[in-house]
Amino acid sequence: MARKRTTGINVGGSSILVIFIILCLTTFATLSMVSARADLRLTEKATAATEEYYAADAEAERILARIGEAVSGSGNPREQVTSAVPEAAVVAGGDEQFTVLYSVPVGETQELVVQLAITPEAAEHRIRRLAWQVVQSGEWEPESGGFELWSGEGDLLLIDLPIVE
Amino acid sequence: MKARRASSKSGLFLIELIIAIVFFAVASAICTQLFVRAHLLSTRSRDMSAASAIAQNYVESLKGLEPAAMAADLAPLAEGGERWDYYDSDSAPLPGIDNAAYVLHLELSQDNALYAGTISVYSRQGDKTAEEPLCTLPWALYMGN
Repeated sequence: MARKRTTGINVGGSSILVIFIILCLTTFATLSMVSARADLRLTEKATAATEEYYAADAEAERILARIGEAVSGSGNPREQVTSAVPEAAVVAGGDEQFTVLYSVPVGETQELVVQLAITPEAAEHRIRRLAWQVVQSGEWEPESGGFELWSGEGDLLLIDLPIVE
Repeated sequence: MKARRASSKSGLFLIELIIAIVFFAVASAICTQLFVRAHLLSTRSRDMSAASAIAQNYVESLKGLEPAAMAADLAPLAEGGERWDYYDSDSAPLPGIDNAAYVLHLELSQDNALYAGTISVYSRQGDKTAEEPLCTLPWALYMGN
C-alpha cells in the first residue's frame, strides 16, 4: 500500500494566522485610541467647566469687593451699593439692613447667584453671604414629540392582559 | 518527480511566509503607533485631571484661610508677587522641585481687601517644565468686613 508522504508544510496556514493576529491588533489599537480620545475630551470639558466656574467666582468676589467699599464709604450705603452693583442686581430692604442679589454667568447654561445681607451700622460682619450657589439658567427644552402620558381618563392598560377568573 | 513537487511546495510556503512577515511588520508598526498615541492622549488626560484638582484644592485652601492667616501667608506676594509649589505624580505636595511631576504657579495682586490672581499648573518631566500650563484658574477673594 502506497503511503502518502507529507512535508509537514501547509500552504495558507501562516497567512490565516497573520490575518487573524492583525485583525486583533487593529481592533485593540482602534479601541484604545477611541477610548483615550473620549477620555481626553471629557477631561477637557471638565477642566473648561472648572475654569468657567472660578472665573465667575472671581468676578462675583470683585463685585463683592466693590460692595464692601461702597458700604464702608461715605454717603448713604444703600445708594452707594445700588450704584456699585450690576444693573440686573436687586437691592431690597431699608437703609439699616438690606439684601443684594446678583448673578454672574457660568458658561452658557448656568449662573452663580449671590445673595448678601448688609447691615451698614454693624461693628462686625456688615456683609453676610446668604447664598453663593450655581443654578441652571438655560431653559429645559423637551424633545420634539415628547412622551405619551396618561391623561387620567380612560384605560391605563396599554396591552391586553388575559383575565384570570 | 516527487522531489520536485516537494521542493516547489516548500518554495511556495517560503514566499507566503515572507509576504506574511512583511505584511505583519507593516501592520504592527501602524498599530504600535496607534497604541503609543493612545498612551500619550491618556497621559495628557491624566495630567489635566490632576492639574485641575491641584489648582482647585489650592484655591479652596486659600478661600478657607482666616483673614489674618491670609494676610500673613500672602503679604510677601501682595505687590505683584508670585509663588511656586511642587507636587509629585500622586498630587502630594513636595518641599522642592526634585521629583516634581506638577508645578503650581501662583500670581497674586492685592487691592485693599481684595486678593486676586491666577493659579497655573504645569506638567514636569525629568528636568523640564512644560511651557504651556495644563490648567489655569483665575481666583479672587474679598477679605473685608
